[in-house]
Amino acid sequence: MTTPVSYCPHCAVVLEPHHDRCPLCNSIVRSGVEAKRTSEITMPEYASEGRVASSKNGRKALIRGLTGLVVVALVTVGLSTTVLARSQEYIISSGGAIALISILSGYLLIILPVQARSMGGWFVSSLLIIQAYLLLLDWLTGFSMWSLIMATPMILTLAILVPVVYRMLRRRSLASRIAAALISTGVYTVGIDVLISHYRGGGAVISWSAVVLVSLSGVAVVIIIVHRTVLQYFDIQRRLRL
Amino acid sequence: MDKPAGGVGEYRRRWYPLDNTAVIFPPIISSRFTTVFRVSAVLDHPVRLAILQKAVHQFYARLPYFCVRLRSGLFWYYLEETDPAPPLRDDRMPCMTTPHHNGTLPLALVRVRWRRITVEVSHALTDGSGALAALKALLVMYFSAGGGTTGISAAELHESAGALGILRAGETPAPWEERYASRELVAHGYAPPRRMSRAWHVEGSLLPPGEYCITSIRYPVPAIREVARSLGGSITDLAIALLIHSLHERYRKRWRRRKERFPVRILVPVDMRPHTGLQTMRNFFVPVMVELDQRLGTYSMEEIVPMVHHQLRAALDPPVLQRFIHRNVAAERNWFNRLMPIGLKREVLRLMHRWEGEQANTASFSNLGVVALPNSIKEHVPAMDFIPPPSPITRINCTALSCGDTLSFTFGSLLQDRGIERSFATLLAGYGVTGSLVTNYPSFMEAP
Repeated sequence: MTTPVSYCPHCAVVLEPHHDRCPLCNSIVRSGVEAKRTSEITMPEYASEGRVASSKNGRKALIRGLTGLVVVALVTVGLSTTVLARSQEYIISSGGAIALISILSGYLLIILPVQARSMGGWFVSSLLIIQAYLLLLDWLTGFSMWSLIMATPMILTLAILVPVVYRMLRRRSLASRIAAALISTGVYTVGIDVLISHYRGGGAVISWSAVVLVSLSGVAVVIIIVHRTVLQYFDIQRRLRL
Repeated sequence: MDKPAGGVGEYRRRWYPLDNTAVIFPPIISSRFTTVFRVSAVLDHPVRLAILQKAVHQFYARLPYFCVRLRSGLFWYYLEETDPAPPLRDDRMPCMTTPHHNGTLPLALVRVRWRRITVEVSHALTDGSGALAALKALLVMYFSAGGGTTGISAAELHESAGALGILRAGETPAPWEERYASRELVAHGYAPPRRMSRAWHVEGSLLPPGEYCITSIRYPVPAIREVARSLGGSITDLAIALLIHSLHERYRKRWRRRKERFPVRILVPVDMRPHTGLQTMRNFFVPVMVELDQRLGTYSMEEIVPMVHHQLRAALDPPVLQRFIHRNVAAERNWFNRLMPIGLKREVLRLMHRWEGEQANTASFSNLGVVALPNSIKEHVPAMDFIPPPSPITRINCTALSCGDTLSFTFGSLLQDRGIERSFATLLAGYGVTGSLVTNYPSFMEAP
């Protein structure tokens, strides 16, 4: 074939002229710029990289940037209001500041390039961010040390519990994983309840969290039963291409 | 067998039971034991993707028993038809895509990159010969649809492919393609095969999970044939002897305690199709062992080649092969095994594979022989490769496949060092045969 053809620079396959993206790796192909004769298309027989990095998408970057600006503006306003309110001995703005900082932390966790990191690194950095966030909240609400006395043991428990549960469940079905996550949340809620009641001086008493645990366990059992019966029959995974 | 086995499942999709040989594979699937192997063709031009997509569409329509996923029932795993997959990109680490139970992708996938078209198959579906037949069918479909550069007549190609027995687009699947050949061949009254002792395994650190080192060395067939004849064996005998010698050299690198002196034993899968006259697209092979007792001293190539030659010929005795088939079928028909629930069966088979399966062999060597392609395609396919499935127990396996005048030896290794491959290539270089090397680890020739 002597006429120049359009090709993917990552996969080196010949594409049709109307293709603006490679169907194999989804990288953008600029027709005309990368057109070559087939004899000129060369590369090693095996790829040097594991997977092609996702190509930059202009629309996604714009939305991400604009959202980031809005979040930063909101948090700046929230923080300055809080500082102003504290200086005038108002405490009403603490709730607003907490909400705004929560938005910022959630946004940071979402936009962090977690795909490029190892699972363990991502997990540890998430725990550190949560701890730092709680410390900040503690400081904003008068620094009564609750973030160190209560939150740190809880985060350490999470740091052990989550990897263990993950290791146990990684080969199980989606329904089993959801059920286990629900039951773990219930158990963890009971732990928090006990800690709070102990911190308030009421002893280790389970109150409202028992309702949460029973409800979540019930939901988990229902999910497993439905998955084994109804969903297995309808095969929702195949329908949704999960 | 006129009526194909299997039935209609949910959504009126057909399902198929696993063949006797494939029963062991689904329970042992893991991130390192993927049971996936590849047969690939290197073309003389970059692949035209749009045409390959058409060919893949025809491929799954022609071979519906390859468009299946693995599912678990109450007592056995089974195969169920699924939606066809488009051609996928060929990644750096071949054969490392784990076929998940109840996954949605078919167990046979077509991968493509630059000039290479690959059929990637799980052993739960078929063996090397079945995968090679599928690749040949795909190549014919690709070139018939206009994938070649110029001057290939689709009608002529269709005719020449039919003469060579290659599956063609538009045909209805024949009953023999879905045949469970072992079940037809089983005969009672055979003693089970001899139980093998433990074999020596190559020591060394494994690559990180998800990594698999492929080393293909391509040699000219006449030069290899000449060396094999000079040593008194066939090309297969020579290749097995080279592998044994390389492993034997590695074994002798340090002094071994008495309880470490295991034999080096190579598993050679023997395709039963030519031996029985039964054709099928499912697994139909029998494992044959060739061994060297390393306690008896040091062996040279001149001694190993005749030893391999005679051991292989002795093992190819039909009643000896029949014993393996009988064992597999009898185990599947046993009522106790049948009634065991799949969860328990999975654990039992996994333990059996660990204790009895690959403990008995040091490595495996599989030769798919010479690939017969229509003349109009042959000139556009300079080389073909057969990549073995990864195994964390044997750690290194070797295959051979010849296309035209090129013989490709491919090593699949989970080891961090490339000593065995280097020794194999150096031995052949000592006989004056040099080849070209292709690997997914460019640092191949660096010292470990």
